[in-house]
Amino acid sequence: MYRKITALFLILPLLLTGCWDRQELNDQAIVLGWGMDLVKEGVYLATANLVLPLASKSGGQQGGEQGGRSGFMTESAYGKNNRDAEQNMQRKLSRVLFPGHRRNIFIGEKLAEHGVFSILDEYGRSPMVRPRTNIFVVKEGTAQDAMSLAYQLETNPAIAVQKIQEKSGAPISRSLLDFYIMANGTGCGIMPALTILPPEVKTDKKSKNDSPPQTTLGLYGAAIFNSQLKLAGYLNHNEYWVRLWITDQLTGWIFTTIVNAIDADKPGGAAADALSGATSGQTVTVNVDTFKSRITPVFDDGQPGFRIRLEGKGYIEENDSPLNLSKPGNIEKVEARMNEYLEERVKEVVKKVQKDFKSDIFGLGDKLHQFHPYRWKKLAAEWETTFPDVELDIKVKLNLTGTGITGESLLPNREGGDK
Amino acid sequence: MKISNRQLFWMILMMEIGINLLISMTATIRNARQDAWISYIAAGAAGLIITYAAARLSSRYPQQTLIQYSTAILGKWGGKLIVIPFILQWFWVMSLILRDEYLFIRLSVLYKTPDWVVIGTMIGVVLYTVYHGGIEAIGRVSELWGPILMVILALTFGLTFNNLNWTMLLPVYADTGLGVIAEGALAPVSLLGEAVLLMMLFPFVEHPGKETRKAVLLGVGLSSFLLLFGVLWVIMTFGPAVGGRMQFPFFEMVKLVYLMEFIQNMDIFVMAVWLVCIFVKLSIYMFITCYGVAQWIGKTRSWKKLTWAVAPVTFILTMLVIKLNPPSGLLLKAVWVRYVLPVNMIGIPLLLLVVSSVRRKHRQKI
Repeated sequence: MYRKITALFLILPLLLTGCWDRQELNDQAIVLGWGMDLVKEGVYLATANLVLPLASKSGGQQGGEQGGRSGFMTESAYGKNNRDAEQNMQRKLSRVLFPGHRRNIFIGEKLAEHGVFSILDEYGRSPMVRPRTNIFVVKEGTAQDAMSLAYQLETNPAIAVQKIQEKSGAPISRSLLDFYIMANGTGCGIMPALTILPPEVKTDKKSKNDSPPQTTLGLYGAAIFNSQLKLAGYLNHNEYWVRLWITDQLTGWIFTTIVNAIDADKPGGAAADALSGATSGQTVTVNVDTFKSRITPVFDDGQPGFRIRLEGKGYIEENDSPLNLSKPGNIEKVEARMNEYLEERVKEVVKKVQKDFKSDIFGLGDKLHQFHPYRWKKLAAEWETTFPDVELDIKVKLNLTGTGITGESLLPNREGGDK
Repeated sequence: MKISNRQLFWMILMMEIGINLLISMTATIRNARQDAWISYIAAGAAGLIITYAAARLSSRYPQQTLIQYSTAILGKWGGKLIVIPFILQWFWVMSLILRDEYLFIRLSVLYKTPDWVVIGTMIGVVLYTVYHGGIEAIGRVSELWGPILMVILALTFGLTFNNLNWTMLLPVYADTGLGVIAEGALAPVSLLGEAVLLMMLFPFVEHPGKETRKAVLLGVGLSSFLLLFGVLWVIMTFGPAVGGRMQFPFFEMVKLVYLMEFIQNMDIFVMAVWLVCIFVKLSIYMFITCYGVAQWIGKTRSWKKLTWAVAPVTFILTMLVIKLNPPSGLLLKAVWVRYVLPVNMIGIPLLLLVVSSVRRKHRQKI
């Protein structure tokens, strides 16, 4: 009896004081995206993308504008860093900011140029933030611009960009972690870059229910950071795959090249024609879904160099060229042409990275470190100055396994084509 | 109060894995970088040797605990004096584990709950178990939860497999060297070596003997094997630089689980099982502290009454540690590796082993 009473008295105070960490869902403002812009030295503008509870309840999957209300809200505040701005933002919000779902972080271009060192600490430190966070640079814009844009397919632009990135053949949901790992390797980093895209063709609304193309968010490519973690430049969407392929992260891409003539020796116009973009012509498109990259360091009189072998497996998805694909020899021609084109393209992008950005975003230094650690000890200190002049021997080898569900085109006659 | 060999095996396993996964990895990776896994292999071997020595010693006195046979070996005063470091260590360990548990829980789940609630509830549960069930209850809990822990760990390794990048393990050896790798091994050894507390558990086993020694060694062996996997996974996920800077890299790794959209946020399972590990470890320590102190003051029969003293003292000590807040890494290095490992885990057992061998030979001569 005594014991029971004592136990009861011991338990009672626990019940009376309530639960310390209770946080009702109705009292939380769920942050889906977070953006940082630099206003001037030491002053940041933070933007939060919040779930609108009422709109998302009725809106469901459709999102966008529901009954004149968009499915999200953006709020912003100035501050000295992430947390300071968050506190300043809180005074405008009736609910507690809950960053547990903050999976997407936007960085304005100006801040990226100034250097991201000052703001990246919190994302690794805060226990509320998941390590699966995505991080983006907004090219030619501010994070706030990008985040306040209504995105039609999703309720929320912050969710949209994550999905876009996932669909574009890049590694899923780990750009922040990869950035930390890269910055600790040879010292530079890479982040996906977004851009605000106005519609290619302007069409007016003709009736109330029309849905003409609108200004939207899109993936631009990648933003490259130098060893000071400052923005060095961008790779556009058609250069981004080169980096992904070389670092063995590419999961799918579609390549289109020009094949004009049907000479047995020459599979098409010169690579330069196709690459310059000035020559338009008849095209072949290949869908490649398996990628492999082998980088081997080679040494020539102590000077490091690399042999880069890129392999891919895919099939022909579209053929507007005169080639008749039911003949096996012609597939080889497409292969040869495609390899030539891709090789040129890869070389061009690699050269651009070496000369313009001088940042080792392909992890070549890490490869040297990993496979030739003793040589690396001598090279490590000067790697930043060595990298732009490193010799690279690049070969691309595609293996085309099919031509879709037809060999020959379903259309009978093609201009200049053989039978 | 008897436990079976199998229960002892699970007890040792859970005790070794819980805290090791949480705190030893960062220290090791910081020292030995991508070669931390070599450190873990070395640590596993050293842990086995330490455990073997302790088990060897205990099996000479299968019906006695350390407190009893130390007086048998060194005489009344010598025996009583030499176990004082152990008693100090037990109190110390309990308060440190509780502190680490509190810090981790506060960081991950309960941000605002006051420290005394988190610690008090844990001590309460442990006290209840030890008081009512003694070593038997602890043995059964470990037997029940040990296999679940194995399943959760296997799932964790399996589900994070797609994040691994094996080239992060390169270059092997070239960057570090023997000294650094050995230094890195010290932290896990100092925790694996805690298996020496089997010297207190030995007489509670049903048939103490060769099988018991096997069970304990298997427990230490399997836990160092799992820890080796853990550290390999962490290095291949985060790389040595990021892994060595995170406070709890293993748990960060679990947070990365992301498969087919719906398999994610596994961390809550791992955390739950991890808490059970901590509970088992604390209960074992609480039990041997109560029992050991009772034997030390010569009142073995009333060991249960001592729980009412040990639990509050632990509580106060823990609160003190929280108030003083010494960094875990520093404690691991400055106290654990420098004093506890050489004195309690190697020095004293070895001394007792040598003296008892000499005595035995001496006796045989007469």
